[in-house]
Amino acid sequence: MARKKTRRKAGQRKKVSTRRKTGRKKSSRRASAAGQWSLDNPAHTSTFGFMMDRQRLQTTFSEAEDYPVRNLRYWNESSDSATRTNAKSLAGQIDGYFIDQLGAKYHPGHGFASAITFVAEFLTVGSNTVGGLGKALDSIYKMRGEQGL
Amino acid sequence: MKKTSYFLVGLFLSLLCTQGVGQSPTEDSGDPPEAFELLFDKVLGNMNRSSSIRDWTEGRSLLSGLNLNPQLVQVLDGARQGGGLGLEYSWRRDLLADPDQGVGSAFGWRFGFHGSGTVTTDSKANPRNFLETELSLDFFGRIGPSREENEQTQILRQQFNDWRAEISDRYQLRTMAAIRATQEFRQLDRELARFAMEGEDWWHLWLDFGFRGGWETDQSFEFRQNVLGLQGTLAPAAGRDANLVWLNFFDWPFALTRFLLGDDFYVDGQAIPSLELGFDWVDPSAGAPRFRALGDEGGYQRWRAELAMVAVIGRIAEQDLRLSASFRHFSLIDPSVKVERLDLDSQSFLSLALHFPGQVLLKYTVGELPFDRKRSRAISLGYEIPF
Repeated sequence: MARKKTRRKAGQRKKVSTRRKTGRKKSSRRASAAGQWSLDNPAHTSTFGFMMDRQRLQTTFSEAEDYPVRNLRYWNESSDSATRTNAKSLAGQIDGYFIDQLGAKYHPGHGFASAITFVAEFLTVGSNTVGGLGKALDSIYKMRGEQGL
Repeated sequence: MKKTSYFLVGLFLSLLCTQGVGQSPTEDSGDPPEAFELLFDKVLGNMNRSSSIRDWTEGRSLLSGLNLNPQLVQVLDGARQGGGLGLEYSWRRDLLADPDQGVGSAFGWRFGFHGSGTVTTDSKANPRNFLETELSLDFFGRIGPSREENEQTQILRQQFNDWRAEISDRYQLRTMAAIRATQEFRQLDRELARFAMEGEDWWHLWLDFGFRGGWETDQSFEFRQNVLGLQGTLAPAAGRDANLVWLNFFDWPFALTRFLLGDDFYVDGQAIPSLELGFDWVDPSAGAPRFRALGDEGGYQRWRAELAMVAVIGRIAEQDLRLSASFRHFSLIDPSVKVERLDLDSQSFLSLALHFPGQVLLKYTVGELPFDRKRSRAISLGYEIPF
């Protein structure tokens, strides 16, 4: 059953078979309010997916909002400099995932360097959360469905 | 007097960091005060200020961005002795970043401040009595195979991410294995399901190179030295199905422990060690062990290296048990016979930490750092305070 989703109408016009049997009601999606961790926000769901695949995030989507990044597997408790290195490397992985594998673009005012610098600094503060990261990524990357393609 | 100057330098850096120099990625924070603009123009010439770095202190306390770990420390043997309460801290702040907005670039630079160290109630019981404070300019980039996927694949990947997030919430599922076991997954469109089953054959290489300048001190500022240096970092990562990932022999023991604790048998491409190499010009000031032993011998050069990794030991009570490891080595270049005889020509330090659920840490350290004359072993039990 195809879903109706305003933000992804553009993406669904690309002759991709999107018939899925998720059992989801067509009208169950609410518009994503700015700043809220939401299933309707593709940057948020992709942040969750990325962390589940590559950082062994083991929470539900809702729980991930308050999940501290310090509990992700890149955090090195033996060495602050290693944590900084891993945070930069992870920021690079996130950039590759969003740009190359999801087709995101940078919002105006952002580029590779500013995205990496910002995300890497965010990831070096242990009490920052996966939800906070998703919201930040939403402000840096314009997802495919938001590009008017 | 000198302590006062260190305090003033620290205060200056704190003010610099507190004021911030950029703006939030989500909203404009306005121009920084003119004084700071002039300062950056003077210090950094024509380098442009970043338009993209978030001012972390906006609406938050001075301490935001600071990581603190209180801990109980007990020295087991060696040159140090006793035990006590300790506090491990780290604080990183980016002050400037590459303003280039070019599309397709995978390289850039940043300039920032960083401080870290451990202080204890009794300095003799501090196994890491080596505080580092520095400014650094790094040029960085990521290298990987060209992975830009076609439009259809990108759209499907996004749709799978949406579906997965929704299904995890609906059925309170916390792992990909649990999601794969659902009725919904079996009924999922074949194209979409491919994203859940496809091999993780990606790889990624992070590189950076830069300059650093700063201070190394003990916690009482009795020992201190100024450092200028070059440094480079290499941090590879790969998916579990990537070619040659099994060569990561550092993770072999953990592949076995994970398997014994119920996980799949695989070598973890996110557990490939990172390597940091540096070359420093060091100017020790009066009071440092080297100065005390040799008199005024002036500065020296050294190599330093750090090899570090984080490995997942396995899942216990639905939580990951992880081991962090770091090995640091400092080696003087062309040391004199007297320096060698006094065993001041190299230092090595190994730190291991077990992460337990609930942000509880058990650490073991062995070795010596530049202000130590002899190696020592210590254990500590710690907890994280979030800010």
